[in-house]
Amino acid sequence: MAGLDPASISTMIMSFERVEIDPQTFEKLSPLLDIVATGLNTSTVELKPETEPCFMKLPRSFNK
Amino acid sequence: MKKSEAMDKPINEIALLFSEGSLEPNDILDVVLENIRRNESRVHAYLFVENETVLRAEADSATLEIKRKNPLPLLGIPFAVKDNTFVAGMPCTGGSRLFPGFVPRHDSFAVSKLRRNGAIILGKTNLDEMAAFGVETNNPHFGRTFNPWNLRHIPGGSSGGSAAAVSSGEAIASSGTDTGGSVRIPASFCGLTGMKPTYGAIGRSGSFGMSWSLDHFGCLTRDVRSAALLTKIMSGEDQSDSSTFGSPQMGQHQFSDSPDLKGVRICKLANPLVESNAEVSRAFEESVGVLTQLGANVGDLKLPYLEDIKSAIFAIALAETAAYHEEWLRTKPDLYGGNLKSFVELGHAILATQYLKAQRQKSVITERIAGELSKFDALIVPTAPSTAPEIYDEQALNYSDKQDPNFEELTENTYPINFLGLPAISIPNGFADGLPIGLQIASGHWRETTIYKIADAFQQVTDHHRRRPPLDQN
Repeated sequence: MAGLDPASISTMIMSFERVEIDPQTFEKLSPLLDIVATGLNTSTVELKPETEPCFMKLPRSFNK
Repeated sequence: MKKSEAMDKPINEIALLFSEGSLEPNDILDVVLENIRRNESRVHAYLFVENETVLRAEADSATLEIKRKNPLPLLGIPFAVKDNTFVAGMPCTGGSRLFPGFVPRHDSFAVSKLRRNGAIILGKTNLDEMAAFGVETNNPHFGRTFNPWNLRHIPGGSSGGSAAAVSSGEAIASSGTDTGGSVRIPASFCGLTGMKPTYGAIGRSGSFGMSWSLDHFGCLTRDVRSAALLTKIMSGEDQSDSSTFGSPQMGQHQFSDSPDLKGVRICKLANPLVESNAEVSRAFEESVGVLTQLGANVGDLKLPYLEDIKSAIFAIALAETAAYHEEWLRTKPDLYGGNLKSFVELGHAILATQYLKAQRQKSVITERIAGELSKFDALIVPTAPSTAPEIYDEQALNYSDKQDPNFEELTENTYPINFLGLPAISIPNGFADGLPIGLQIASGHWRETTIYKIADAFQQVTDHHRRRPPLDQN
């Protein structure tokens, strides 16, 4: 991304942040964000380079 | 037979009574409309009920078709639809103020199948706002639905109106949507059978969603055989819902009137994320005894990754709900109730990398757990860790001993099933203090028939699903 300095990238990102999170909401529900961040960071689920997101492959056959 | 007694029969038996001429669609409609008149002001299951003249015309038309030997399986069956699902000509709110005056011109995929098979759509049922992050059916715009078994208790959510309608006799059956337990938990709390088939089995086009990766369509009925019939009818490839592409067509399950589970391998979830209370645990162990007596081999299974599922499903549900609502939240924030608005706002804090990591974990976890489950025919666990909680009354002076129903705790046994895309049913398996308890039976992908076999055998030798709420005493 030659020609873009960190400040301009930051400005670009901010321009997409069109929804403000109410501080009280954030305080009340932020434990959920902790569950997400901590859980994903400490997970033992082994992701290989070829592991695709789930919506790329779904089971499609009956198992009798 | 009294007309009201016919209400308790499976749909296929009601249809048989119609074809024999011993009962007519208007007889069933009489009972349903009388129950609506008598109970609706207390239960508040519906947001919209169709005009009686229209319903009578449809019942008359069904009667004519039955006399012509038309074999459609739902002819004259009064059915309620959750109000996040489109029914042509009926208002659809989604339990939200975002769509004032919206009346769809077309039926949703599932409703079109129900109607093509003869169902009479009675009206639209109450739900948590946009069916998202709620287990109470306490709608900020349209009010609460109350549990017919005890009006001081919640019916569960988000399909609480659909559950209360069937439980109180205000419909024969109803539709629901289930993203983390929204069909199965209301079924458990209201003493009903609630079925959520494999992810991708029933098309979701023509309904307001919450989370593309987790949303399932389902139904609420009095018994397993009706749930199997409705699920088969609603299933199939939906050209406007890619989750259904390539999905196999479900066949009609052949039920046996001689319940026998010899050779069926069932595992109890040995490491649930939430501990059930004493009454639910007792009912669960009694159910294990019933299944064992029917011949099933019941063992224990510890499922891996349940804690990982919790973090990943929150990442997916929050991010997808925020994406779904992004435009509306930006342009019409004042039209949201506080609870949903909070969750949608919070979803904007989920990073794209977190969302995609969660989706990649979903691939690995689903494959691994499907492998574990393949050693068994089914998995059983209480649907919810308790009976329906009492309504938390924020206006009461002495509510310090009451707890706001905990969304996370009540859904701990159900949301992993959505994450994995597995089929599951909740059936009544006991009562405590007059409130129903639910047993959840899950199986591998596309193994709905295994679930039906086990659940139907259970219902043939128990009567929990036949009990009716004492609304006249409430």
